Amino acid sequence: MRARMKSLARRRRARLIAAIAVAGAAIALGAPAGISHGDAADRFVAGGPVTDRSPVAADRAAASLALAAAFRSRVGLPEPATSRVERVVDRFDGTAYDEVTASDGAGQPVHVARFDARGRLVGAVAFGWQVAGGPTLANAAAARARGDRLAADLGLEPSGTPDVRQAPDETGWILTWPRLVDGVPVVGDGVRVDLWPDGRMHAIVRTERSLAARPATTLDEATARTRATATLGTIFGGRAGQVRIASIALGWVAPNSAFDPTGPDAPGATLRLAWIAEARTSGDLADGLRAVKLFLDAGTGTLIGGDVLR
Amino acid sequence: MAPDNYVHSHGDNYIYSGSTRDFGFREDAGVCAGARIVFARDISAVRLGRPSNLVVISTCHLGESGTTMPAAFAIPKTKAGRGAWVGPSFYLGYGGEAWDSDEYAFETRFWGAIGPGYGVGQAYDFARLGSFNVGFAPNWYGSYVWTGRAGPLPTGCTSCL
Repeated sequence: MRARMKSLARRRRARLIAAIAVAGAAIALGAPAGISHGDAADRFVAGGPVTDRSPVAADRAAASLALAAAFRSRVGLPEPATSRVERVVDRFDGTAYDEVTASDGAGQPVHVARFDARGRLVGAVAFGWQVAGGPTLANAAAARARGDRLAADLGLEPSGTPDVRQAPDETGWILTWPRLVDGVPVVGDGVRVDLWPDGRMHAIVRTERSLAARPATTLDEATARTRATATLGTIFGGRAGQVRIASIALGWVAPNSAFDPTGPDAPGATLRLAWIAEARTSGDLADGLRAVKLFLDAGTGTLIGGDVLR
Repeated sequence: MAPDNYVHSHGDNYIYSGSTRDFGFREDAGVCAGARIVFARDISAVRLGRPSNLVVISTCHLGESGTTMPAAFAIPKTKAGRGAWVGPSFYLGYGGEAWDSDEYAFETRFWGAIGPGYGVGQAYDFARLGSFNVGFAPNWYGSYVWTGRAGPLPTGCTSCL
C-alpha cells in the first residue's frame, strides 16, 4: 500500500509541477497560458494546455454577444467597453462553449460569460473581488431567496433544494443545486451560484456532463460493499484494519486514475453509474490520510476511480 | 522576495504543545505514519519575515479563516481586490476537508489560466468555474491583481497586470 500511495502522490506532484512550469513559462515569456490550437478532441495531458481557444464566425459571435448583453442586464453588470468571443474547448472536462470576455476601457477583463451550443448560460464570473456593495444579506435564508430568484431569472433550471454555505471569511454565499437523475446524484454536476455578501452575482456554474447508459443490471448494495472491502484490502494490505467503510451509495461519477498512476491525467468526459464507497481511516494511518472513496462500476464492481482525502 | 512554494500534504490545526494549537502540514518523509508536522510557527522562525510571492498549500484546513500559514510566508492575511495592493504575493489554500480530485482540478485550471492578461486573482476566479464536490472551499489572501511574476514591485501598485 505504501508504495502504491507514494506512487500516486508522486504522479500527482509531477502533474502539478508540469502545470506550474507551463504557467511559469507563460508568465516569463509573455505567452498566454492555456491557449493552443491543437486538436480539439485531445484530452488534457499534464503540462499541456487546459483549453483550446479559437475565434468564432461573425454571425455566431453576434449571437453570443446578444446572449451576453441579456445576461448582463439581468444581473446588473456594467456595460463593457469591449467584448470578444472565443470558442473554448475544455480538455480537462471534455466540454465546449462560447466564451464572451468583457473588458473595461483600460482593456482589463471585468467579467466572462459562457454559453453552450444551445445558447444556455453555463458559466460566468465577475472579476475584481469587490466584496463591499449594498446592504448585506441577513442570513442563509435571505441568500437562498436571492439565489432562487437569480437562478430563475437566468433560466438555470435548478432542481430541488440548494445547499447554502457562507463563503470563507464571510465574503458571500455559495448555493449549490446538485444534479439528480432518477434520484441518483451526479457528482460534481448541477448549478452553483456564488453571491457577494450583498447578493450581487459573483459567479455561476452550470455543469451537465453526458452519462453512459445504465448497466443492464446493478449490483446490490451488499455485493458492492463486499467488493469495496476486498478492494480496500488490496490497496491497504496489512493496514486494511485501519480503514472502515463509512458510507456506500449509488452515484454518477467521472472515471479517473486516482488509483492508477498510469491512467489519464483528466477525469473521463462521460460519467458512469457507480457504487461510491467512502472509507475513513483510523490509527496512525490517519496521520496522513483521512479517507478514500472508491468508485465501483455499478454493473460489474470494477474499480473505475475514486478519490483521496489527505 | 522568495519565489513560489507548493505543498501537497495532510494539513490541520494540530496540537503544538500542551493545549496550544497551530496550523501545519505533514512533512513528506516517505513514511505512511508519524511524519513530522511542519507548523506555521516553525516556518516563521526560519524565514524571519522574508516574504514569498506565490504560496499554494494544497491540503485540508490551511485556507480557513483562522489559518496562521500565510503569515509564515509574510503574506498579509487580507484580500486586496481590484484597486488595492498588498504587494506581489498570493496565498491559496482550502477550508475544511478538500478531496484530492477537487484540489487537482482547481489547481490545474488555476495554473492554466494564469498569464498575460489574467493575474492570479482572475486565475483563481477562473479556477472556480469547474465541477467540484459540494462544500469544496478554496480561499486566498494577497493581491488579486498581481501578475504572478516573481520578485519585488513598487509599493502602491493598484493595476499591475
